[in-house]
Amino acid sequence: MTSFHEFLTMGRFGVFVWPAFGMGLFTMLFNIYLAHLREKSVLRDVREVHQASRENQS
Amino acid sequence: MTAIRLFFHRLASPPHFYELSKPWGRAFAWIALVLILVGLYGGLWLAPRDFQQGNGYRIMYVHVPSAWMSLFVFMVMAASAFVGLVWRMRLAYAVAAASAPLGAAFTAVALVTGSLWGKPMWGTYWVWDARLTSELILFFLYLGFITLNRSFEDQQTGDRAAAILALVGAIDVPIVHYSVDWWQTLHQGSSFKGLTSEIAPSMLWPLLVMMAGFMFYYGWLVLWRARSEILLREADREWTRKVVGS
Repeated sequence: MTSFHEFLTMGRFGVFVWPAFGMGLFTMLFNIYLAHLREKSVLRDVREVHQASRENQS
Repeated sequence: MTAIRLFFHRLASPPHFYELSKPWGRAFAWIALVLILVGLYGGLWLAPRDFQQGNGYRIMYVHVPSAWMSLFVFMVMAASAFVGLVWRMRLAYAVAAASAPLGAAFTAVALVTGSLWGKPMWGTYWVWDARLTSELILFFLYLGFITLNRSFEDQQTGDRAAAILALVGAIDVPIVHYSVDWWQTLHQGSSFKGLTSEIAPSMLWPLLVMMAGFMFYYGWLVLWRARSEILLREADREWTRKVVGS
């Protein structure tokens, strides 16, 4: 890369290169968010199973 | 040998896996972050412009690792499915279930970034050639696995049904890989022949670093997701009470 301007425009390919990297970054961050959501939902489900089993015993 | 067997035997134990996976996952996350940042700097700034494709070729720094991971993750799923079906190991099913959304995401990124590269180079976003079509089929196989895995009230039935799909679907992985050799395709041939590559070293090293970064990123997220999946499958076991604090 010879200049910051070339970096930003990627020659004439900026309209293809930056969306490609943007999509890659978005997907990676979204995967992290989804893993977090799944963990929260599973913890809630497992606590409900334990709660139900305690109620059945008593 | 006994120590290695003991290590894997202990690793297959859900409580032990749950305990071990957290520090491993954290380490993988930091390694992935460093590798991806170095790879991006190398690929977007340090690597020279291609004499034919200009700066457009830089899309390969996200496209190739994603495409490679889309195949690798499916092989992990197929291997886990096999272990799950043969040895009835819940952890193997958990790994397969944890891998599927990640593999689908890698495949989607590979397809979209490939299209974005195709437009300026081929003049079109999409052609129905063997490589692109077989990769699209792989994406549908991932979606099918996810849907099948969650379609049954009984999780064990869902795990087994999805595992069979993963084993059958694994036939698509070599088809994707060798499609550029078996058929005349618009997609370029493989740049890697065994351990050698036709890519110039100044362009190659950021690609290898990005591939390693994607691998550690997958390692981190699959451990994280597998922790949740194993907890769900072991909800009736005593050790999960301590873990979730109920």
